[in-house]
Amino acid sequence: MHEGDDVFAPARVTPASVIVNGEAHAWRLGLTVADVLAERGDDAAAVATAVNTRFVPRGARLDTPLWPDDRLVVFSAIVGG
Amino acid sequence: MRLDFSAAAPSPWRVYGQRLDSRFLIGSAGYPSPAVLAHAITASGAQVVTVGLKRELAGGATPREGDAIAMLRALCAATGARLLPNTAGCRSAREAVLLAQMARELFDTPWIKLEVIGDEHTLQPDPFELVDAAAQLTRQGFQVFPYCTDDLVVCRRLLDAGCEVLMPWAAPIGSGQGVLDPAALRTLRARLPAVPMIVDAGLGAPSHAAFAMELGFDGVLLNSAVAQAVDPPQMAMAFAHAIAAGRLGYEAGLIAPQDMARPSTPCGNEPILID
Repeated sequence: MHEGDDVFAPARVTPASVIVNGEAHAWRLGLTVADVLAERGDDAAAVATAVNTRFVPRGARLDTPLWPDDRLVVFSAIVGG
Repeated sequence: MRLDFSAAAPSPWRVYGQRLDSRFLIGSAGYPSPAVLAHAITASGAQVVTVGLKRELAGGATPREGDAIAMLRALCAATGARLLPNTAGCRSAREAVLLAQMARELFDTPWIKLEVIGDEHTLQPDPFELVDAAAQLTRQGFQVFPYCTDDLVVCRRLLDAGCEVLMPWAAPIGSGQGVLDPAALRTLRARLPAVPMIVDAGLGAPSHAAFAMELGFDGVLLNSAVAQAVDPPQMAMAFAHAIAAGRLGYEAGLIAPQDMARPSTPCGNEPILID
């Protein structure tokens, strides 16, 4: 605290979020990998996922909860050499 | 547009138990359109097509990317060709293993073209991370196609790690320079005679591919030389002919080069006498 600060002002709280492909996504208690894909509008069958650099298979997305600051990556198929 | 190899077909070969009649593996990136890509693949006669992965923007792939992938899946279903996903862009074994796991799920295949790059300018593979990743992936049931340099000892380490095929470079990716170090590739072929080996990357002209095949390599993988040609389907066909010709030449047995001339016409070395 500094002299002159209003000690009675409400603390500024940053909303909790997860990081999805480098961008913040709102977090809530119980949020899963499957929820994030649905909220982003991803085709769940056409993407692959990992949380904090650990692969999350398609069948485990419903049961994989996310916590604030978790990093989810979502990859899709593209052409390649 | 499909090539007819019936008159002069090189021998079939196997990779991880898969029989292949074509020795041309083709990349799918950088074509002007999905339709041109489809024509090029058909013209190439390739039975293996490389693909990739990228971070997904919210809402799904762009329509053009989705079109290309849907087309490739349909083409493979119709022709029996195999998709070979890559780990392009990875800089460490950890990244490559993770990307391979995602690729296996997305493309439903244990095949993985393992790329772990160690230098930004040359895109030279990092041999230490590559061998580490290959060992981990093999233990996880992957069938690894490692993109590697032409270093014999690194290649041996990759075999020790469980790879059953090697993919040494000819030159840096996309450079089109052709085989930069024929002696190194000859050494690989001589020291590892039973290992399927595919020359991957750096070829620019059909003659480069023919040369690589004449060295005894089992196949050629390339992308840019076809995708960036003025007429990709025609260039795919040109490479297909060159690859088949190079293999046929290798199988037929090339004569050994020598310094001095040897007359080919059996005229008895007698001077023609003009009275």
